[in-house]
Amino acid sequence: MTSILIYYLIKEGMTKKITFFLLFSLFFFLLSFKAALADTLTNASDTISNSRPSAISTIGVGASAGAVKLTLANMNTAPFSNARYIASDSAVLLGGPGTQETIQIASMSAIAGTTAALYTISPTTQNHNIGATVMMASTAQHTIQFKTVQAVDSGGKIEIVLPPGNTANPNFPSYNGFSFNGLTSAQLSASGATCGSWTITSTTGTILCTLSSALPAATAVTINIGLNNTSPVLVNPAKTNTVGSEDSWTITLKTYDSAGAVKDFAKVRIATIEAVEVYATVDPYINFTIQGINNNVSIGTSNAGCTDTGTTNSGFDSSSTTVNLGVLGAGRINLAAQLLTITTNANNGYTLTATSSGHLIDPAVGYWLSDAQGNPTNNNTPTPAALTAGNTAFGLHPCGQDVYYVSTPGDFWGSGATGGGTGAKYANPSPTYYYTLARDTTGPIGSGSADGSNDGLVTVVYAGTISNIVPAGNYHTVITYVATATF
Amino acid sequence: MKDKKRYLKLSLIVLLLAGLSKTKAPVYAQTRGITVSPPTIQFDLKPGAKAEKTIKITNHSSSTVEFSVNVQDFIVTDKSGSPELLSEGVLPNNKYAASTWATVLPDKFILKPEDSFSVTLYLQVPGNARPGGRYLAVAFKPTDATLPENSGAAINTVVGSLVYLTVEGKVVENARVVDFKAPRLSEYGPIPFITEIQNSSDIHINPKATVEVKDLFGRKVYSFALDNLNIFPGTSRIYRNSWETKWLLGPFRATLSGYYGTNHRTLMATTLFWVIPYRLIAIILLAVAIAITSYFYFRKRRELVEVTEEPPAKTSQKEI
Repeated sequence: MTSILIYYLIKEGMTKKITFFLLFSLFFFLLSFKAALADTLTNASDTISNSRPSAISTIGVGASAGAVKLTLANMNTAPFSNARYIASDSAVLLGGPGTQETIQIASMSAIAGTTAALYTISPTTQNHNIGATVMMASTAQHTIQFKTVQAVDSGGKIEIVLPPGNTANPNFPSYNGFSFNGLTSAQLSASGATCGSWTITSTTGTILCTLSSALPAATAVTINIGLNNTSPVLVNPAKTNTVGSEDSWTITLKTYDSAGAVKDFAKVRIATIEAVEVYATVDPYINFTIQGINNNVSIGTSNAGCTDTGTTNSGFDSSSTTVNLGVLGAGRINLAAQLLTITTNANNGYTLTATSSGHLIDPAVGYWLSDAQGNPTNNNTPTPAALTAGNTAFGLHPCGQDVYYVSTPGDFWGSGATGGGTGAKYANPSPTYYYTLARDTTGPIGSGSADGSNDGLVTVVYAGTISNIVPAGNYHTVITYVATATF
Repeated sequence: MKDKKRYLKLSLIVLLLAGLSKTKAPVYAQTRGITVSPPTIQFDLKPGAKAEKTIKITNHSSSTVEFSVNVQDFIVTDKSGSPELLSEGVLPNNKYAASTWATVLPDKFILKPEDSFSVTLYLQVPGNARPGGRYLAVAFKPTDATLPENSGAAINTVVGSLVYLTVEGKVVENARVVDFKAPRLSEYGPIPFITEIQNSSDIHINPKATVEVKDLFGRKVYSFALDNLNIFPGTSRIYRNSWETKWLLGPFRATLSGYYGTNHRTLMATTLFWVIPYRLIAIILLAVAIAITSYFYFRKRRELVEVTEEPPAKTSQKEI
């Protein structure tokens, strides 16, 4: 190409211009002479002992000392969504604004909306405000290998440049590169080359070996970076790429002679990627079960969370779909019962409410039994009332550890004797207005939950009593229980 | 022959005892159980957008059950987050209604014991829908309610899957702490904290907040986070927490700080309270007072005794 150009210029009689062109080319040739002499290192590679990326996140809900659950924020947004790799058994540092501490992770929930719950093996010992950093530093040993092409004299150098990571907090991971984590020359070693001294510059990610003896051509060199006893030191970068795709990093290797001229160089690439991610899905659910309770059985049967006293006495066993109060008589209170069970793995627990088709009524004559609490005028209004044998009334009463209350347990539905007196209180809902029977806003709900074996168990007692003037007949109503997650 | 008779007698006794010992199980074997998955569904849709979601129901009853499925609006009116499923026509001006935008297919089906079935919820947001929160429930209900022969009640069950629909767009988000208190004066712990947050937004919020308690010297002595609860638009939610400790002394300042909404708007509140174990202090003061009084009383008495005993001592000196 150059020959064609010179021929063309001579042909055109431009001798001065030719001279200028040749001098110009010579200048650049001399300038790039050093680089032009450099060869590519052969068999260059960097092998990392652990390719797992680090993970960084922040908590979206403050955690008090003693917390076993941390709520991670922004989990729907990359790269924070990659913080699910925190969910390993690795040590995790929980940072400021509170005091740092190391915790062990037991498990992590699925990402729900913007958050995910991180469950710890043991409670935290410090308080951590919103925004505190949760991170998992995945460390790896680097083994760098290459074969020189040109010899390097004594006093020459081997230079390794890694993408620099977090320099402000060198033990924290970074999205940009490898944090040096306090790397010292004691944690560096070389074979095939004799390094008289090491220079470590974490801000540029540079590790420099100054040779104390010459390095012949075609020598295989191995350099180990970052092994503190048996633990690797360098912190892998946090993942920025999508799941299943690696993050790629370029490491530059160079040899210099004692005059500072580059002898050989190479660029090697390494990848950090999650190992095998095992997925398992547990469907969110809510389960509602009703069982009848037999006649002549203690009210609290099969529900230790129900401490009310009394015995079913209607003369009929209840089924899951029918409650028979039997023959009502003046001067006595007929009792029947059912056992309701709610289980759910929803985080916000459950709410159990009841409505009814109306009063306990005999449609044939249009006469009804008064609601125990009076006519409903709003949800949960009026408050349930106790029954007195012989004062016509019908109602239901829930019993169990999740029973609804306003301020203190028992202040709404009462507790104690179910067969009259001031203990258990009763109400009959209406088609329009519901009564809340039970709720628990902290899921999961069920016998295996933190709330114990009676979690989600609700015994419902049905009671009816009449005075002497109630007309004969069969009195009915339909009670509908609504079980949903709490809002 | 005698052995045969003895054997027969023994057998009869065993049978009689077996009959007597046979007791009825307290809980009736027939059960009605329904599982719905998922219990809550979240949609974020633009006006005019469509979406669909499969909901699975399993019949854990001991018999075959026919189910009907209804799409109902729901609201929350209490401070506990209890969803109230609204029948058709109830609360016609409910601005959070979305049941008319949804349908479920099929709306009736029969399930044998332990069988599962999936229905599909279809949502179509109108193009002119106002941005904000909309709330509906997919309610599964057995259709076989039967009345008892005598007086009593038929029992029916509804298990609902709650749908939170956010119509995307410019949404007003406003909330504030309307109540944040601990008892002004307590003798000792535990100290209950009641927090009430009012949501005046067009959409439900899920505030995140922490409470720090500091002593007289400004040292942080306790902190806790509020539960992660949703607050229905236009309602408030009460959070109950407790500082589970017994012995405390002095004035304390509790500060709530947190945020809500998509723009992380701030929530702040402060309350002051005292914890003084006044009965214990009174007993200690009384004991100290008694001790001091006793000390002076006995000292004075001893002085009196010494004064009265002095003359004989002088006499003895003279004797020496």
